[in-house]
Amino acid sequence: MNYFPDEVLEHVFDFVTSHRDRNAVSLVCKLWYRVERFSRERVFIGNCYAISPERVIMRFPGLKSLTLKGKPHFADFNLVPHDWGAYVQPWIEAFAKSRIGLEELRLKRMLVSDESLELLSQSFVNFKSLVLVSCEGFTTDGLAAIAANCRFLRELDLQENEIDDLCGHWLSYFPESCTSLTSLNFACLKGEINLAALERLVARSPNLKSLKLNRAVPLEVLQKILMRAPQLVDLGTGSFVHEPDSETYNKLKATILNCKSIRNLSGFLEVAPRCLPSIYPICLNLTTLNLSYAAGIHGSDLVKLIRQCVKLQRLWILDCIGDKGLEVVASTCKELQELRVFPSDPFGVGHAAVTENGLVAISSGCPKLHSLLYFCQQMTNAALETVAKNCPNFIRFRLCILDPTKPDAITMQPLDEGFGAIVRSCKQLRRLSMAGLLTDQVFLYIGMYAEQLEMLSIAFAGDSDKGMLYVLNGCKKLRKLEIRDCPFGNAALLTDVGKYETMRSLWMSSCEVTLGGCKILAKKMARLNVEIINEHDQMDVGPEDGERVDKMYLYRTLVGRRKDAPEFVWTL
Amino acid sequence: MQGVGGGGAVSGGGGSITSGGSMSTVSKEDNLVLSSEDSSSCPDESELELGLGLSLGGACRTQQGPRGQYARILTAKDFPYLGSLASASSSSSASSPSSSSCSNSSLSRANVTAGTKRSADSVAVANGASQVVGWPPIRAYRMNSLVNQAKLPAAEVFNPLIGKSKNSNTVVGKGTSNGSDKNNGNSKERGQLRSTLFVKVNMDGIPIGRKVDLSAHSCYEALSQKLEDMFQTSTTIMNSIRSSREEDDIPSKLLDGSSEFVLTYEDKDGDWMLVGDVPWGMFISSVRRLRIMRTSEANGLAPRSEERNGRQRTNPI
Repeated sequence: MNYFPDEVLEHVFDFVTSHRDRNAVSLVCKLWYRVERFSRERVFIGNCYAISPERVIMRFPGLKSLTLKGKPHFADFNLVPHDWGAYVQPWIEAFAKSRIGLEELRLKRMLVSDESLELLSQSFVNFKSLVLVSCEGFTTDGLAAIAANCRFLRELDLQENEIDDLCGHWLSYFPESCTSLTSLNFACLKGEINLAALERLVARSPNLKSLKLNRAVPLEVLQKILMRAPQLVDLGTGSFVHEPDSETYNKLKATILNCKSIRNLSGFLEVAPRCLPSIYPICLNLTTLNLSYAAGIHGSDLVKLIRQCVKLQRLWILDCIGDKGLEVVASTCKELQELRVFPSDPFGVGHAAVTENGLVAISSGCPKLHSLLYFCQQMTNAALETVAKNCPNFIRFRLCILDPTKPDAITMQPLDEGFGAIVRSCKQLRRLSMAGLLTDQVFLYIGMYAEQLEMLSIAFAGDSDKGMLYVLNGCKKLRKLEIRDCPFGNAALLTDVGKYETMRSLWMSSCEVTLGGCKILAKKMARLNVEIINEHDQMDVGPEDGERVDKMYLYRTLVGRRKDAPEFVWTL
Repeated sequence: MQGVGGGGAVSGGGGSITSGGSMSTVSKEDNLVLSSEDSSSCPDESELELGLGLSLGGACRTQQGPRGQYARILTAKDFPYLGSLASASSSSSASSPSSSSCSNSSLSRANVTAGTKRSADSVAVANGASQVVGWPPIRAYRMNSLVNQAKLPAAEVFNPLIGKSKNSNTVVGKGTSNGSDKNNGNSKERGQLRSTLFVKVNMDGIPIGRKVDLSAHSCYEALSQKLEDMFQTSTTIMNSIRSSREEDDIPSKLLDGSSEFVLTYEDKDGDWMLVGDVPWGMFISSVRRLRIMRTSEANGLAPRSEERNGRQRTNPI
C-alpha cells in the first residue's frame, strides 16, 4: 500500500491519538509500523514488567511522554507488600542514558525514590510534567530536586501518594526564573509548607490553571493566592477555617467573586461549614466537585452546597450525604456523569449511611450517569434492576457493600439477578466490581452479556470453578481480572491457559488455587510471569505442591522473569 | 490497655510480633538517626530560609535523603514488614497504616461493647468485616486520612455540630476508642474543649528535656516533625562540638547515620512502647511521656555493643 510518502502517512497518524488506535495502526504493515513508531510521542505501559525500558527506547525514539503503571490494583488495599517491586529507577536510568527527550512522566502505583526524582530532574532539559498517583518511596527532598532543576516545569501533580514530608521548603527551590507552571497539586503532603514561597510562586505563574493545596495552607493565604490567580480553573483548598465575621473572610468572599473560571473544586481537608457560603458563587459553574476528604461538611451545610451546583458532571462525596442527600443530588445535578460515594466510617457497620434507595434516586434523576463507585450498607436486586433500566450507559460500575457477603436486604436472596440486569442492560460496560452474596449464576450472566468488559473485580463470591470459567470463556475483551476470597481453584485456572496472554494480568488471593496448579501454568506458558507472594513461609521449608497459594499474580510479559523480585516473591 | 499494637483482637501474627509490649516492641529493626542538618528549627519563615542556605548550601539536596544525613525519628509506621507479617494472619489491614490496623480491631471491640441493637450473628459479621485484610476496598491513602481526620481540633472548634453529629462521633470515636465508653467520652470532650496535652520529652544524651503539646498535632508525622525541630538545635550544636574535637569515635557517629534513635513513650501502666503502633487517639489517651531513645538502650537488640560505652553526656546547650 505504498501510495503515500512517509510524511503524508505521518501527518495522518498525527490524528490518531489513542494508544489502542496507534497500536492497531502499527500492525497493518511494515511500512505503517515504521512510520508509526518514529512518530509516536506518547507511550502507555500498563504493566511496567511487561516490557523493558530498553526495548521501549529502541522502538520509539521520538518518545516524549511515558505513562507507567506498577503494582497490581489490589496493592491499593494493602494486599501487596511494600517492597514487592515496581521501581521507576531502572526506567529513568535507561531513558537518561538514551537520547530520548522525555517531557512527561506519569506513574501509578510505583516505587519512586528521591534518587530517581533527582536523576529525572537532571537528565531531561525539556521536562515539563510529572504526575504521580498512588506512589511512594520518596520525600520532599525529591520534590525539591524537581523544583530546582526542571527549568520548564509546567505540571507537578501529586495524587494520593505517601510522601515523607521532611520539610516544607521544597517549594522554595523553584527558582525565580520559573514562571511556566500551569498545574501544581500537593494536597497529599501532610506537613507544613513554606507559605511565603507558595505565594511568590503563584504570583509569578501567570499560566497557573490548577492549584491544589494541602491542609497546611490556611484560609488567609488562600485568599491572597486567589487574588494573584483569578484565572484558576481547578482549585483544591487546604484549610478552610476561619471566623465567618472576620475581615479575612470578607476579603475572601470578594476575591472569590473575581474567580470566574473555577470549574473544579476539591479539598476542604479542614473546614468550618460557616465559611462555605463564600464559595456559593463558584458553585454555579462547577463541573467537578470532590468533597470526599471533607469530613467536616455534612448535613444541611452539605445539602445547601449541592443545591448550588446545577452544572455538576462529576461528584465525589462521603456517604454522610445519606440517601436524602443523594435525592437532592438527583434533583439538582441533571448533568451528572460520574458519582463516587466513599464511606466516612468504613468499619462502623450499622450506621445506615447510604443504601439502595440513594442509588435508585440518582439513577432516575441523572440519566447521563456512566461511572459509579458506590460504598453502601445494603443493596437489593430490585434496586439494581431499576438502576439498570434508568441508566443503560454505564461504562464503569463499581458497587461495594461494606459487609462483603450481604444478600438482598429485603428478599435475602443473592444479588445475582441485580448484577445480571446491569450487565444485560449496559452494553458498553467496561469495568465492573461487585459485592454482596453472589453465586456462580452472576458469573454466567457476566460471561453471557458483558461483551465489552475489560476489568472485573470479585471478592467473596461464587460457589465453584464454574463461576470463573464463565467469565474467562465469555468475556472476550477481558484484560484485568482480580479475585480474592473466592472458591476458584486449579480447574478454573488451567482450563484455558492461552486466555491469559490476551489479558494484562490476573490476581488471585485466598482462593483454592494450589502451588502445583500454578507451577503447571507457569510451565505451559513461557510468556507469562506467574508470581507467588509468600510472606510467611520459610524459604527452606517451602510449601508443598498441594498447598493453597495465598497470593498469585500473573501477567504477560515479553521480557521474562523480573530480576528485582524480593525474597518473598517466587516467579515459577 | 495493652500497649502492644492491635491489642486483643489482633490474631496471631500481630501478637507474635509485638509480644511483651515493652522493650521488645522497641527492639525492632534499626536505621534511625536524628537529623543533624535539617534546617527548620524555627517556624519563622525567614529563619527557615536562612537555615536552608547554611545547612544545605546548594540547589539540590536530595542526595542527602537516602544517604542517611537527612533523617527523622522512626515510628512504627516505618516498619512496614511488621504490618505485612500481621496481614498474613489477616486480622488487620497491614503495612504502613499500622494505626488503622489497630483501629480495625479496636473498632470491632467498640462495636461489640457499644451495645448496638443487633443479633449476635450480625455482630459477628460486623467483626468479620472489620477484620478482613484489605476490606473495604478503599485506597490506603484515603483510609489513613479518614483515621487522621478524626482528630483535628481546629475543625471541631469551629464546628459545634461535630460533637452531636452521629457520623462525626463515630469517626472521632473510631480513632480514640479503646472499646470503652470512658475513652469515647474523653475524646469528645477533648475535641470540643481543645485542651492542651503537654508531655515531657527527653532525648538520650541531652540532659535538658523539653515539653511538647500533643493535642496540637493530629498524627504521628506531625509529632515527629515537631520533635525533630525541637531537638534539631541540640544535635546540631552537639555535632559541631564533636567535630571540633575531631573524634571519629562514638558520639558523632550517633548522629551521622551509623547509630539509631527510636521514639518511645511511657504509657499509663509504666511500660515503654514504640511510638506509632497504636492509633493516634489511643496513643494520646495513654501516653505519659516521651523518650527519644538509642536503640542500643532497647532490650536485647544492641546493634553494636561499643555504643553502650559511647554514651556520653554533652555539655548543656
